[in-house]
Amino acid sequence: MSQPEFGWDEEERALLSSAELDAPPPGAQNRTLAALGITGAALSTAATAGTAKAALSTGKSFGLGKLLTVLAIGGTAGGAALHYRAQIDAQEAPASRASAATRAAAPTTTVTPAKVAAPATDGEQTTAPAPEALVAIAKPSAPASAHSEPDIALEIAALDRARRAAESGNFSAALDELNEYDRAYKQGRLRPEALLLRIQTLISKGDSAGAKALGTRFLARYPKSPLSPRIQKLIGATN
Amino acid sequence: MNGAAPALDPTEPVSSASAEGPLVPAELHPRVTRMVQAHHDFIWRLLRRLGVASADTDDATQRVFMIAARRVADIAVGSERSFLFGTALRVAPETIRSAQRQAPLDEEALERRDSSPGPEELTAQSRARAVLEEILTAMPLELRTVLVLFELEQLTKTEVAELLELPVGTAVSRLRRAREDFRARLSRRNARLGRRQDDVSA
Repeated sequence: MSQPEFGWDEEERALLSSAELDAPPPGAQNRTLAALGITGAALSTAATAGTAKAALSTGKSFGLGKLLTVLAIGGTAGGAALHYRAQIDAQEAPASRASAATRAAAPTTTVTPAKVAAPATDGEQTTAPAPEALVAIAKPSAPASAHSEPDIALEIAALDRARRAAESGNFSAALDELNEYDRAYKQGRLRPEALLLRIQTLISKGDSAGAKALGTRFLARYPKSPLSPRIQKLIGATN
Repeated sequence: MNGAAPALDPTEPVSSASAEGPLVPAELHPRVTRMVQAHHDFIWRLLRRLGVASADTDDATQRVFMIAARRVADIAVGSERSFLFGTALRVAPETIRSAQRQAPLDEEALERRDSSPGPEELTAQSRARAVLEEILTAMPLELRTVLVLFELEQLTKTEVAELLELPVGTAVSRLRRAREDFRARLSRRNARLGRRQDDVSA
């Protein structure tokens, strides 16, 4: 275990640090539990004493909706708390190692019982669903759909992949990526940008008719959109 | 790679209950719940970083835990993470292979939020994440796995060796190769992009 520190350069460190964006969407753990047929009662039994119970108690006292908001924010911050590995690489200090191991082994213990009471679909519900409702609303195959910060980062990454594919001339792959984006983010915040990218890709691919049809639909529906002038220009150029 | 992982049945159902009864007997709910609470996020990140598409990572994570839930009685106490890890290593490539990439463009694609950033304004970190994914995905699985565990999950070399069921020296050697592979792929990518840029400028 005496390997010297690996000298990542700045670019490499930036790439590795970008993995901080990886975090389960809110409710993912709930959906997994519900998919297993496990409801609130079992969670109460499994919850460890201390902070978990305190979290539930706190939820009762000032409203579950607010608690869920706090937990969602905490989860995001926790994901962003990933520190770059090289900074501790050389030391392998017992304390930091213990911390890393604890994080990997039990990342969410303190918040899970309350999270299980969260609605699986979004954060707007303010009353806790009945335990059996957890199963009813959970979809084993439910993709990330809530508008959380991790989601927007994932949306950005998805569009980046599509853009890269288009820029490299692989238009079919770009359209595949856009199809996947549309499927995964039905309420995505970047859907208009995805549409613009799709139109650009169709034009590049030589499908002017398809691009024009799509752009025309957009302009008819959203004539005052900030994207409309660009789309107008794009499909105008196909004439 | 991991002896604790079961051989997967490709026809493994993913519903929460079968005609014969619930997936997890009630008496095992507390243990399975603790397992999910303790390891869910680790498995989710692992699958994502091993190349599972973001849209499929929830599904893949659920599959890992469903397999573990079915076998929970056979998993030694304290070996849960090792079992889940081994299962995830098998589920990840299956999920990647079977990913469905067809979805119709519907009217919802026309919805817009005027204040949302455009593709040109995407953050540097997100761009870096996309490049990271491109490079990781291209790496051999055994090298990708050790790099993810050590550099991204920040496990110790000893922990990595335990999960991979390797001698520590072998794990360290593999990590060295993984880092070199990562660096070489990034260099080749930069050189390729540089040449393309030169072609455009010429």
